[in-house]
Amino acid sequence: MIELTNLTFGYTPKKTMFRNLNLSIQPGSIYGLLGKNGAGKSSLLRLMGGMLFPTAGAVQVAGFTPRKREPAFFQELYFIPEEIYLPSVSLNRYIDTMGPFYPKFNESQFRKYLSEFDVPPDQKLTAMSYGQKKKIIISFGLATNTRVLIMDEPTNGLDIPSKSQFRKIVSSSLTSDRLMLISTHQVRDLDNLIDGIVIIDENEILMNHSLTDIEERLMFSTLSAVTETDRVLYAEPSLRGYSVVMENVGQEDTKVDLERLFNAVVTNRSGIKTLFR
Amino acid sequence: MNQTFSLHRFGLVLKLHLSEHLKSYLLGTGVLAGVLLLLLSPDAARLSVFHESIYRKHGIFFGFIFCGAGAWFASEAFRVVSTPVRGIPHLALPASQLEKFLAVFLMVLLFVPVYLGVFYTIEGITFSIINARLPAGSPRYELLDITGEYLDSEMRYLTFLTPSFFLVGSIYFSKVPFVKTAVIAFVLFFITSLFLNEFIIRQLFPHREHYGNTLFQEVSFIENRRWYRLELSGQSRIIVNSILVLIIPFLWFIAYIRFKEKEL
Repeated sequence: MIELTNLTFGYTPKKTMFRNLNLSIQPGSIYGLLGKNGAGKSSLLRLMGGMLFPTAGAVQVAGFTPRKREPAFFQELYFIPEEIYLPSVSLNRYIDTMGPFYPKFNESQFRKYLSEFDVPPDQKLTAMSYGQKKKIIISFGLATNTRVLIMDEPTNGLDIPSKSQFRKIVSSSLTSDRLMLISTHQVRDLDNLIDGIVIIDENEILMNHSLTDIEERLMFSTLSAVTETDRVLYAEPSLRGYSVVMENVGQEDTKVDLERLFNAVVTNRSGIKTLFR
Repeated sequence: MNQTFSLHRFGLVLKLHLSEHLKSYLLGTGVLAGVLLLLLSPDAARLSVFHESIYRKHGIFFGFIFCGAGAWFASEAFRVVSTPVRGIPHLALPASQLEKFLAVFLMVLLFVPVYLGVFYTIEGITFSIINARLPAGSPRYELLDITGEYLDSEMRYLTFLTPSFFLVGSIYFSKVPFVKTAVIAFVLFFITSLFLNEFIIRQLFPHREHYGNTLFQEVSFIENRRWYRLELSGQSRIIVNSILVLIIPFLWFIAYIRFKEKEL
């Protein structure tokens, strides 16, 4: 569904942001794109959305080349940017003007999401709060039923109840031929939502695996003390000793702690790379 | 599905564009009407006799306000893609870049009939008030003939060139496109009219005592107390005029290519 092949990109010819990046993401999943501030998450998403053009290499999304910016491509991709814009019109007018662009747009689905998000249906869009506007864009994006949905920091501006509502709505709208890619630096927002993870750091993709894959190879546990024989890949002090990420030698079932996973991947690159080779 | 142009998609883009901008266009038209009213209406209170010179004044007002308002309007045309906040949703809209460009371009073209409508409405009202006061037998004021002698050919050309030039500036500059394009326009004008023109005329007519000229068209000068006027004719005139005319669609083309390749 999304294929990056030897992708090279930089905002200036001298400063390369990505060099020979390769990535493959399949449909039927919700992927989380994690990275530190300035790691290039937004740039990577914009390259996938055709907003930026690669310097070298190829990007394929849903069988299209984003750089060509074909209408058929945008009918299959909805992009929710980090900072959003809504025109000064009523909700009905917004539906009336934006909906027809997307052949699979479903108005009743849109209104259902809005009511689940508690967004008043009769207010002018510009009179709404930032969080409400974000909910409108998210609901609209989901209701377009495009095969690819890219969301850049979608939970920024959402209050705590809305974040859990967001997880519920997004997971309910996943279908087998749909791919959702969510970028965030607030990993807790993706808990119980994503089934795959891509981690980028220092212009490199450090991890691209499903959570099932990660659960098979890594164990998230708490130890009173860390010894060399524990095969610990990452440890951080906690109230009961150390919260650790270690090799899952005994194939035990543990839940992936995204924050700890992220820290483990960026601090112990070689250890994680060796394990997932 | 045609990926370059579809009338249905173009209609949708146009509908979306108008739903977002119609209010500001109407406000802009109101401001334009206000400015023209301020410039043209004082004559309605002042004049009670026929002065042909009023057409010259109206010709200057027509040209300068057209260039100013047209430049401002065109420089705002691609504001939508000047920042990622508005630009990303616009670029990601399921329509071709040509359709999106044409929707904006059509608005720039529509500025012409809107301006003419506003100008002639206000001038018509002004003249009808004055005409009612003119003594019997006096010639009556009629609407300005913009193809006639009261609008200089240079000004007439500038009214075509200015919005097109600022349209390019609008896509090139993300911040303050009007000011930046105006600075470039003045620099170009300065180089072309003062430096190059002066330089070339000095080289061609080293003994001239006095000269006047219309850029790219004609030069007149006095030499040994004789007055000369040289102007382009025949094929060279056709070539130069064709270049001057072709510059305008060429600017549109640059704006389109730049818009098509816009990255955010």
